[in-house]
Amino acid sequence: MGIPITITEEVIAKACRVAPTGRFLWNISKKHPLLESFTSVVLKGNPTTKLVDIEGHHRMLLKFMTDCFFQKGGGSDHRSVHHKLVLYFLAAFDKINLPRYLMHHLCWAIKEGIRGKRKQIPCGRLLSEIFTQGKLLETLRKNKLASDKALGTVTGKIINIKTLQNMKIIRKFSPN
Amino acid sequence: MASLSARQDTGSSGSGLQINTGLSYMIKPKTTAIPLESFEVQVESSVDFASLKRNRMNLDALMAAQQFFPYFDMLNGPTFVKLVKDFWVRAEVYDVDAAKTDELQVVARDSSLRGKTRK
Repeated sequence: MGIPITITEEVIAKACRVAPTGRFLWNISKKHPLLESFTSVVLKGNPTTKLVDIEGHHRMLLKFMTDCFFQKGGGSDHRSVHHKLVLYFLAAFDKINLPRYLMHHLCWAIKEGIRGKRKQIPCGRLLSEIFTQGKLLETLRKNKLASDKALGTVTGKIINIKTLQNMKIIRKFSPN
Repeated sequence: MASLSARQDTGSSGSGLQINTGLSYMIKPKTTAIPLESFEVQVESSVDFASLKRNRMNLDALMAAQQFFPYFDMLNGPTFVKLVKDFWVRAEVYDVDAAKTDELQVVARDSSLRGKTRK
């Protein structure tokens, strides 16, 4: 017995509670003019600046991107280019179309999984929210199949002061 | 517009079982050769914005511009790892617009197919 689930951009927008509007660029070349804006705003005009050396707020935005939106694992140049643009949009207060980016990220990851190239499943929490909103959890509960053990319930890590310390954005407090 | 779809295995057996309810009880076949247990579910981190703010990392304006706060609220909920894996091994991607175009072309060739499913 199975329950069909279809995920579209609209479904993701509803689950992630963000309107599907704003900037979205995919399959861009490494010479896209906006990459110069990325260099200017994020790298402060110096193309040789490493991402670990950028300004603290921008490093946190990058941390959000890799931990909260598009989880790492098997990246490529193509992805790093579009991630640079997303980072630029975030840093420049230019609203991105998050549901569309998440949809493309999921589609890419599923295709990689089908080809046997990728074992990481991104957006575990978002998919779980879609299952909840799609009444899947309700159906499982009615059939007494929704124990935490059966569902494999977990919670994610938290980005907080410890993260700032680990990233060396702030120093650890030491009384001595 | 792209779309993902899969049938979620609810854990009961009965592959191939046919009951006259008009519904299919076939479990959707897996779409990947990777074994289910080899997959690793990545759970998004939630963010303690108050803790960051107390330590001179105020991201309120940047996040407000993106209208991201409801998204971060959503990230505080639980993740169902086993359900996600069951979904993922059966998921496939198709383009809704391209599928609709194909359907219209097929129906134009043979009008008796109008309203039929792909199966």
